[in-house]
Amino acid sequence: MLLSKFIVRLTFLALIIVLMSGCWDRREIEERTTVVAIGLDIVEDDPNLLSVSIQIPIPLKISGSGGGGGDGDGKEAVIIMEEKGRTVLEGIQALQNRLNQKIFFGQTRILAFGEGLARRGLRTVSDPFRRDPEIRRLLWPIVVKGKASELLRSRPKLDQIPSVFIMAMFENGTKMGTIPDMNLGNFFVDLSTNDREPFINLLDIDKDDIKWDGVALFRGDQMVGTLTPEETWQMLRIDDEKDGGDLVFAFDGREDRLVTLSTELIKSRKTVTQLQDRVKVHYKVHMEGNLLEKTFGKDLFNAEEIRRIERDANEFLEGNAKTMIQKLQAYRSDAMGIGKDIHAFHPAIWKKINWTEAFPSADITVDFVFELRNTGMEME
Amino acid sequence: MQPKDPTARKPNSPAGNGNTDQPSKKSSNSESEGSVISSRQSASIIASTMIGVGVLTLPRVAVHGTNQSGWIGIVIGTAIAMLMTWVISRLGGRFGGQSIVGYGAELLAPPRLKWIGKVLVFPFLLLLLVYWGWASALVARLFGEVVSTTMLPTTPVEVIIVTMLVAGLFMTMYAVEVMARVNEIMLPLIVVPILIIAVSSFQSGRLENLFPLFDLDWKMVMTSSFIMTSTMLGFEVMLLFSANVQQSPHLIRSNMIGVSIPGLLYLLIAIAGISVFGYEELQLLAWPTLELVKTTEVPGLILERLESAFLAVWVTAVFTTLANFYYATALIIKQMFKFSSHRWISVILLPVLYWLAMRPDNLYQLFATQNIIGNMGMVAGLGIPLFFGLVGVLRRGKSEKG
Amino acid sequence: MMKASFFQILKSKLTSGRKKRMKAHMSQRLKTKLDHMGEVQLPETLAEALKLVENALKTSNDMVVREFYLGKDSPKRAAVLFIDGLSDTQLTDDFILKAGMFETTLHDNMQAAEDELRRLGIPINDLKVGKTLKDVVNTVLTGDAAVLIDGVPRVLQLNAKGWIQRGIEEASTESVVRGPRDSFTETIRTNTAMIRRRLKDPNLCVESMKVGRRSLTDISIMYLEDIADPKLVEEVKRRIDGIDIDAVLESGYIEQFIEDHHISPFPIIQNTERPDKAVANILEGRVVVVCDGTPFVLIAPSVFAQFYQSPEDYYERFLIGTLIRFIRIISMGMALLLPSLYIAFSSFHPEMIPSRLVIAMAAGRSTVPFPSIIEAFLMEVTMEILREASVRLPGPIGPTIGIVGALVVGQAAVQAGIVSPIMVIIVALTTIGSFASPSYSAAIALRMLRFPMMIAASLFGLYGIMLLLILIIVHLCSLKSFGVPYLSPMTPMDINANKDTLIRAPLQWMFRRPAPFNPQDPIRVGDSSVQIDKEGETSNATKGSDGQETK
Repeated sequence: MLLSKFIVRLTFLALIIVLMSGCWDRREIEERTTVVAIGLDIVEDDPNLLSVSIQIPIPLKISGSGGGGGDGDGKEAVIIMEEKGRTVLEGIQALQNRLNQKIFFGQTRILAFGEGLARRGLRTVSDPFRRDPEIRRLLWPIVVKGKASELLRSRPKLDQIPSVFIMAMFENGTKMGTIPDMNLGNFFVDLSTNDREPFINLLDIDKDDIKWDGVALFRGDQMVGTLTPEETWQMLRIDDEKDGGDLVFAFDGREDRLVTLSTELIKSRKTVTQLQDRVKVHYKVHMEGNLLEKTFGKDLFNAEEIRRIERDANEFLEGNAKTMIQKLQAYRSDAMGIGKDIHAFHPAIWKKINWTEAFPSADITVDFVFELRNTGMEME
Repeated sequence: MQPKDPTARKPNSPAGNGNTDQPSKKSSNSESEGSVISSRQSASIIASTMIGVGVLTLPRVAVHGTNQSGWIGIVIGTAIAMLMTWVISRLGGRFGGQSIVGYGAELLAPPRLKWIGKVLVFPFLLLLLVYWGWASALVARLFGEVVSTTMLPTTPVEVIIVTMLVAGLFMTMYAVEVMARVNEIMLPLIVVPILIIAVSSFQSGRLENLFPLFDLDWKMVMTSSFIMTSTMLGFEVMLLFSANVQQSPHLIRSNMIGVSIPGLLYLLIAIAGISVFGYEELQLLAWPTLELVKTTEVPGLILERLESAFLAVWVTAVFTTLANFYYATALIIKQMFKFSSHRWISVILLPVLYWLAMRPDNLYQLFATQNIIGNMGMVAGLGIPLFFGLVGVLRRGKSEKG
Repeated sequence: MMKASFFQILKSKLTSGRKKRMKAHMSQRLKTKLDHMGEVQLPETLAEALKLVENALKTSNDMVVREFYLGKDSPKRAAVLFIDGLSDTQLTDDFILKAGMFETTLHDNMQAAEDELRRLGIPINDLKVGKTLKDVVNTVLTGDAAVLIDGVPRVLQLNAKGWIQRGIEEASTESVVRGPRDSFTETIRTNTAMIRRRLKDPNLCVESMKVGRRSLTDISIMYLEDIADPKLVEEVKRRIDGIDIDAVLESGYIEQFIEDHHISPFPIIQNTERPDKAVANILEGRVVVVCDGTPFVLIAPSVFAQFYQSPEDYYERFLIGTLIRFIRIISMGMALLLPSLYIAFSSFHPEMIPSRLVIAMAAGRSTVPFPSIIEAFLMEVTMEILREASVRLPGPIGPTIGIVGALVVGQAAVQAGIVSPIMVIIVALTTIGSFASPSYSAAIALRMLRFPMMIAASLFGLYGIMLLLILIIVHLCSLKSFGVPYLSPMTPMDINANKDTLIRAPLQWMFRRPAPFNPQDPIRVGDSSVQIDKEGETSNATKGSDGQETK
C-alpha cells in the first residue's frame, strides 16, 4: 500500500514537473523560418569575411497552399536575405537578428558555394553543416559560376520556389543519369577519403535562367577546374555506368551528316596493371543505344551502315573520354576514384606507388563498344 | 500480475481463499515464479538485451584500428558471445530453477558448508549487480545524449533519462513472465527497422570501400574483437533469468539464435556503414548509424529524413536493454539478500541509477565511463561463466570419481 | 492508464488493513427476503397458503389468483397463481384451468405423493413440485404459473412463461456483409437456443445460475464439455458465484465483476450479439456467459487479437479475409496514432515532411491561434461530442445530423481560421478509423488512449509517442484474461495459433484449435482433403458423411 501510494505520488509529481516546465522543443511549423537554400560567398573586399545568403519561402504567397490563398505571383513567393560574418554561423546569427522566427534548416535542399569560395577551399565552411543535426545529408551542394547569391536570387518561372526547381532538376537528372548523384553526404565522404577526390555539380546562372554546366573538380577541398557536361557524362558512363546524355556526332566524318544516339545498359570493366613505375588503367565500356535523329536521307538500315555508326560512335566517345581524362590528370583530381579502386582490389600495386604522384602520369585508356539496338519508329 | 478477481474479496464464495490452480495467481504468490520463460522468450531476452544503444555508434567503433575490415571483429565477438551463452545455458540447464545466486554458492563449496559458498560467491554477484546497474544507467544516458543532440535539442537530457528510467521502472513492477513477454513482442520491432536501414543503405554503398578484405594487422583484430565483444554484452542476464526458463531440448539452440540475431544485425550495420561512408569518414561521425539513416531514402515513402523516426523506433531497443538490466539489478539484489519482493528495490534503485547516469560531465567522459563499464562487463560476461563453467566441470568430475 | 496499473498491481500485492476490516464486516452474505421465505413450509389448507403468498407479494397488483375446483368427480379446491403479462394467459386458461377443471381426477389419499402430483392430467411439459413459500414466489415471479391445491402442502410449478418479446433482428453493433443476419435478443432461452441450434453437439453444456439478490437474473454458462479446459469452466463458475450484487441489469455487470483487471482501458472480456461468433468461440474452447435481459453475451477468456477479428473474416476466402483484417489493423492504428503523429510531425519534426507539404501546412496553420496540440484536442473533443450526440439523436436523423454537424463545423472552423485544413482531414480519418474496429469496446479503448498519446506527442514528439506505446505494450503484456496472457498467441508465441492473428490462414491450415486456451480436443480440421483434379471435377475421396472425413 505504501509503495503504491509512493509510486502514484511520484508519477503525479513527475507529470506536474513535466507539464509545468513545458514542452522544450515544441515549435510549430509556422513558428519556424524554413530556409530552403543557403548560399556562401567570399567577400571580395575583405578576405576574412564570408557572405551568407538564405532563401526563405513565404507560405501564404505560394499558391495552392490554402490559408490566405496565394495570389500566384512567383516574384513574391520567396525572399532572399544576405549577411556577412567571419564564420558561417556568425552570418546566420546576423540573419536571425533580422527575422521574427527561428531559422530552421531541416528543409534546406540547396547549399550553394560561389566559385571564389570553392577555389579557396570548402573544408572550414562545411564544418557547421557536418555538425548541425538539422542539415540533411541528401541536400545538393552546388558550385555556382560567379556568386552563390545569384543562384538564390534567380527566379526560374517553372516553380514558385527556385530551390524546389533546382532540387527537382537534380533529382530528375540523377534519375535519368545525366547529372552525377553528388549530394552533401557523398561530398563529405569523398572529402575525408584520401583515395578519391571530390567533385560538385556546377551551375551557370543567367538572370532567371539556371543551367547545369558540368562539375567542378576538387583537389582536397579546393576547386581546381571544371568538366563540361559532355565530359561529365563520359565520367558517369565510365565510372558509374550511368546513361549520360545523348551523343551527337558527325557520321562518316562529315559535319553535315549528324547522328544522335542514346546510350543505355552501360557496362564498364576496368583492368589495372603496372609497368615499371607507371600504372596502366584500362576501361572497357560496353553500351547499347538507339538511333534518335539523323540529318540526312541515307538509309542506314543495313548491317554495314549500322557497323559504321557504331564505329563512329566509339571513336567519338573515345575522343571525348580522352580529353576528360587528360583534364582530370592535368588538374590532378582523381574524381573517378581510380585510386580507391586500386587500393581496394589491387592492394599489392597500391603499396608500391604513391597515387597522388602516380595519377597524373598514369596511363588511362578507355575502349568503347557501342551496339545500336533500334532506330525508333522509323525504318531507315 | 495478479488478477483482481472480485471473488477473492468475497468471503462467502467457496473458492475465495487461495485458489492456487490458477497460473496467474501462482506467479504472484512467491517470488520464485517457476518456469515461466519459454525458450523462444529466452532467446528474445538475450537478443533484445544485446541490441541497444551500442548500435548507434557501432560502425565507428568497429572500424577503429581495423579500418575497412572492422566487421571481422564483430564475427569473432559474436562467436565469443555464443560460446559464453552456451556455457551459461548449460549451467542453467544443470541447475534448473536456480540462478547464479543459488548455484554459484552450491558450486563453490561442499553442501555441508553452504555458508562458505555464499560468502565466496558474493563478490561475483556484487560485480554483476554493479555492472548491470551501471550499464542500465549508462544506456539511459547515452540514449539521452543521442536524443537531445539530434531529435530534441532543447529538451534537457535529464528529462529524457528520467522518462526512460521511469519506463524501465514501470516494467520492473511486473513479474518475470511479463518481462519475458515484453521482450518477445518487442524483438521484431527492434530487428525490422535496422534490417530495413541496413538493406536499403546498401544501394548507396560502394563495394570498394570494403576492400581489401584481409589487409590487416592481427593485433588490431584482437583488440577490435575484444571491443566488439563488449558491445555484444547483454547475454549474461541469463545467468540470473535462467532460473525461470523452462528446460527444453531446444533451449540451447534458441539461445544461440538469440545471440546470432544481434550478431547478424551488427554485421549488417557495420558493413553498411563501411560501404557507404568508408572508414575514413566513419571515424569522424559521432553517431554513424544515424547518419546512415540520414543518407537512406526509402523509395515511395512520403516521409523524408527518417532519423527521427528511426530514433523513435529505437527507443524500443534501448528500452528493452535498459529495462532488462534494471530488472536484473533489482532481482539479483532481491535474491542475494533474500528480500521478499524486488519492487521496492527497483524504486530505491531509480535515484541511484539516475545519479550514475548523470555522473559523466560530457560526451568524452561518457565514452570513457562506457569503456570502463565495458571492461567490467567483459569480466562479468566472460569471466563469470568461464569460471563457474570450469568449476562445474571440475566438481562434476570429482563427484563422479567419489 | 499508467498510474492506474501501478496502483492496481501494488494494491493487489499488499492487502491493506482497511480491506481486512471490510472483510470482517461483510463476512456474511446479505440475506434476502427470499432466503427467509425458503424456510417457510407451505401450509395444508389452500386459504392459509394463499394468505401467505398474498402477504409475501402484497403490493403486487399484477398477480392473478384464480381459484377453481380441481377434478370433475370429487372436486378439490385449488388456485392458480401467475403474474399478468409474464405468463401466457392462453396457456394458463387452456392447459391449466381447463384441464384442471375438467380432465383431472384427484384422490384424497395422494396428498404428499409427489409422483402422483406429477402425473396429474395437466398437459404442461415442464412441471416441478415445490414445498416452500419461496418456491411459490419464485415460480410466480419468473413468469411461471403456480398451482396450489387444498390439503396438499405442495406447489405445482408449471412452465407458462410467455411475455411479449422483441423478435430476432439483425445485429446492430456488429453487422457484417456476409454471414448470418440473426442476433441475440433479451430472452435467455432464445439466446441459448440460438447457440444450441448451431451446435448440435451433446457435449454442449448449458449450466444455469442466478445472480443478483433482488433481480435473480438467469445466467447460463455455455461451453463444450470435451473441449473447454475444465479449470477454466470451474474458474468462470467460481467467479460468477462470487458476485454479490442486488441486481444484474446487463451482462456488463457480470463482465465487470469477473474480469481480471478493473483498471485497464482494454476490455478483458469480449462481448458479442452474434450467435455465430459465440459458437465459434465456444468451439475454440472458450466459455460463453449468456445473461437474461440483454442481447450481449460474454466470451471469456479473450485475447487482444480478438478485437480486430470479425466473423466475416472466416466466411470470406483466405486472401480477402486477411486483407480485410490488415485494413482493420491499419485503421485501428490510425485511430490511435494519427492525431499524435500530426502533432509530432508538425511541431517537432517538420523536416520529415516533404518541402511542398511543409509550406502548405505552414500556410494553413498561419492563421491558427493555438499550438497544434490544442488544435487537435479541440477537434477531437468536438468529434467525440458529435459522435455521442448522434447516438442520442432519435432514429434515422442521428447519423444525418452527425455528418452535417461534422461537415459544417469542420468547414466553418477552417474558414474562420481556427483549425488548419490538414487537421480536419486528420480528425475525419481518425474517426473513420475508430469505426472500422469490429469490437466497440476495443475501439473505445483506442479512442481513450488517443488523448494521452496526443499529450505525449506534444511533450516529446515522436519520442513521447514511442515511450507511451512501449508503456502500453508493457501493460498489455501484463494483462491476463482468466489465466490466458492477453497478447497470446503473439506472446507467448504459438505458431499454430498465429495463423489466426495478423493473417487469417486458409481454414484447412488451421487444423488445431488455438493452444492458449488449453483445449482438451485440439483437432479442429481433420483430414478433409477433397481431391480436386485438374479438369475441375470434384471427386470426393470419401464420398461419405462428414463423420467419416473427420477423425
